[in-house]
Amino acid sequence: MKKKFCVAMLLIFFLPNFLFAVCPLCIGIALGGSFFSRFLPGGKTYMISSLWMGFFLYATYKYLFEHWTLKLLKEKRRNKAVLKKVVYYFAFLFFYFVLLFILLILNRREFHFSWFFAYHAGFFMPMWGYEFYHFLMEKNIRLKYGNILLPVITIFAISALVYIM
Amino acid sequence: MSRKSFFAGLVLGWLFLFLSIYSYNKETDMLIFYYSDECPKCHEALRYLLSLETSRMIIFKEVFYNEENYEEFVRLGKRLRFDALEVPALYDPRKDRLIVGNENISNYLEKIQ
Repeated sequence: MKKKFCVAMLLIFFLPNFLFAVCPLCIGIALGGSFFSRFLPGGKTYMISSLWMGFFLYATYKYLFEHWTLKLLKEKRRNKAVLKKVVYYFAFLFFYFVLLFILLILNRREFHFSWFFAYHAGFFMPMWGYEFYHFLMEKNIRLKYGNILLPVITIFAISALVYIM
Repeated sequence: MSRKSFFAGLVLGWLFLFLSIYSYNKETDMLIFYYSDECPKCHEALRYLLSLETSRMIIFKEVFYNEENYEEFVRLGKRLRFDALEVPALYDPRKDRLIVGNENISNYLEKIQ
């Protein structure tokens, strides 16, 4: 019991601090959502958790993509650009399969199409929310922290929808 | 705005969400009934369930003589934090609920019909 308590405290206090120190807010929220959704009661816990894992994949991909794109723009030697793109592509695939494997372990090593599809929905839905923010920006509607808020609101709304249905 | 990403998010997001909910309803369509051959109450419940017309399939699992079913039942009980396991019991995967006792089972089935 003491050991469990210590681990829980470590996860609650130190992990988010560490994450916020090195990652953008989106990744922290996605990871927090993936963690806390495991405690939801009912049969749909694993689906909601998969949705949030998909969001985590999207947030990671977005962060890495933007980070690397900036680096690529600064890069003067263009001959390495193709090689870098290949590396980014494999990095994305690596994250995709690692999270899929983690989900499989968390879901009692049982593969179900429901959580597999939810994982992908969790990836694409925030993408829609994020691009919607840019769409609003084009229409001169500016939202403060909209690039984080809109994907997060989207994923929250979808999680609630899945939980109710 | 990247139009490609916007439409990919919109179409694929809703498509995967729909597929996910559809698969979930298919995967959790059945109810699992745990019973023992040696328990008279279970026989009553069995008769009741066999006479019942439900839209959902019911899988019957004997736990007294069948060790595999018993282990599955114990694992389920542990996961749902049941201190003592009793039969007859009905498991609904859609709600992740284990209902124990004849009266509770019949009430629950009436409610979900």
